[in-house]
Amino acid sequence: MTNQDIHTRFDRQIILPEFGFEAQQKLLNAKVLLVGLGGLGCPALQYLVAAGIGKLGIIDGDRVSISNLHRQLLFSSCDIGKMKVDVAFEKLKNIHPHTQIDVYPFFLEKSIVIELIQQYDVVLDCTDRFSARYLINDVCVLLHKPFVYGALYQYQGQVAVFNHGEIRTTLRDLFPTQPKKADYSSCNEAGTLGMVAGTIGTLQALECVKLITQQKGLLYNTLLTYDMMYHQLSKLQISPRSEKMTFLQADILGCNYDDECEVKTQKEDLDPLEFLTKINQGNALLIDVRNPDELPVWNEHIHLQIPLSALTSSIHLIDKTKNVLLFCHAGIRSKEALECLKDQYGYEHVYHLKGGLIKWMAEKQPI
Amino acid sequence: MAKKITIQLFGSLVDLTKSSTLELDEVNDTNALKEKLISIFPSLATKEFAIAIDQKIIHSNTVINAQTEIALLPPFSGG
Repeated sequence: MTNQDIHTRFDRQIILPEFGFEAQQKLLNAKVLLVGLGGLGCPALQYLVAAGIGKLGIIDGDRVSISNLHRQLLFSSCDIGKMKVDVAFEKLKNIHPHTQIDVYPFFLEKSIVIELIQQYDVVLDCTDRFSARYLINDVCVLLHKPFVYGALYQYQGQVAVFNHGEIRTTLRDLFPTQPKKADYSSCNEAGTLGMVAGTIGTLQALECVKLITQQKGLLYNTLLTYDMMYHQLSKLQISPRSEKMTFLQADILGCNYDDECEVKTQKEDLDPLEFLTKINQGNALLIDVRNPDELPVWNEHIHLQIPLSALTSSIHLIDKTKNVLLFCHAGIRSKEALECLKDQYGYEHVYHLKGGLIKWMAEKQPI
Repeated sequence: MAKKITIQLFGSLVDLTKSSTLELDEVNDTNALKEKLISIFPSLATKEFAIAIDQKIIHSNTVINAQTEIALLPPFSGG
């Protein structure tokens, strides 16, 4: 890119007081890793690409589902079922062709996180679970990387720049231990509006650009909380805890960040006893997703027979208002059917028999 | 008449207390405040939340009075 090209494309931000060509060059040389392409990540990513960030890594293992579309404006109805990172790449590659976009189609894991974050200058935490937030926090502390935190609760949002400046504060100076199940509430459970997520994601992109270009007024050692119902802004000052938390690589690799993921999976992956309880609770729609010729034949409870391969063509038979209970031989096809109903058709009350009929028989449950 | 303190609540704590602000009789410090809050809202005992006094997040027991700005902040996880 020639200097003239840079001036032409980015003129409106270059002419800003205290910005200039030098700041633009910093953006063009910057490497940013954005974790999570949800309500926060989508707007943040669009603005960062457009602002001319040189290299952007995007990581998310999720596929686009219909319930994403009200707030994740990068995605359209025709993208349902596709990997979010792939759709984002296709839509953004032409906004600023000189931005290198690296695509990581998986969820952030301990095994790869250190190697990944090492390659970038700044991380944007746009995730929706504490396990990922604390993993990002600890690795950024280990590697001395700043990260821009954003989070939502209903009409409220938070933004902060952590691990930056002379006195470096982190998420653990706010909440020293990863919150437990009782504190857990994602957008899936608590609800959110697209505009609230979009505002907070945009503020994260703003703080990222200010950080890279060394602007004043950066939200480090400060937590901004914005209540968008009443338009109340609070800036709360964060100081380091007296007990300094240092993180060695071995601590991070040995730490169990996954409590919530287990909590999440437990909700839809049911053991035989939990499955039976769910049947007996009423309003259940039981579906055998095996092929019709598979054994054992089972006929004690009223159920539908819809093989996994016919799920899409039989979707009209599956009442969304019921508790949909799926089972198969070993719990693999029922899990796949569950993901399909949730992600592609927006079913909310859908469960499956973990371990399938094999486990059921082994535990001698009288189905 | 006892002096009152006003507490601002954020996030899921608003659902729990059914209010974004609480007014309580004055207490001496944040430990006493926590005890009082838990006696009124027992489920707060299992909730993690940070306390901000005069717009600063505190890490230890802190003296308060009727003029103190108090805010309770639970973790947010949504994205």
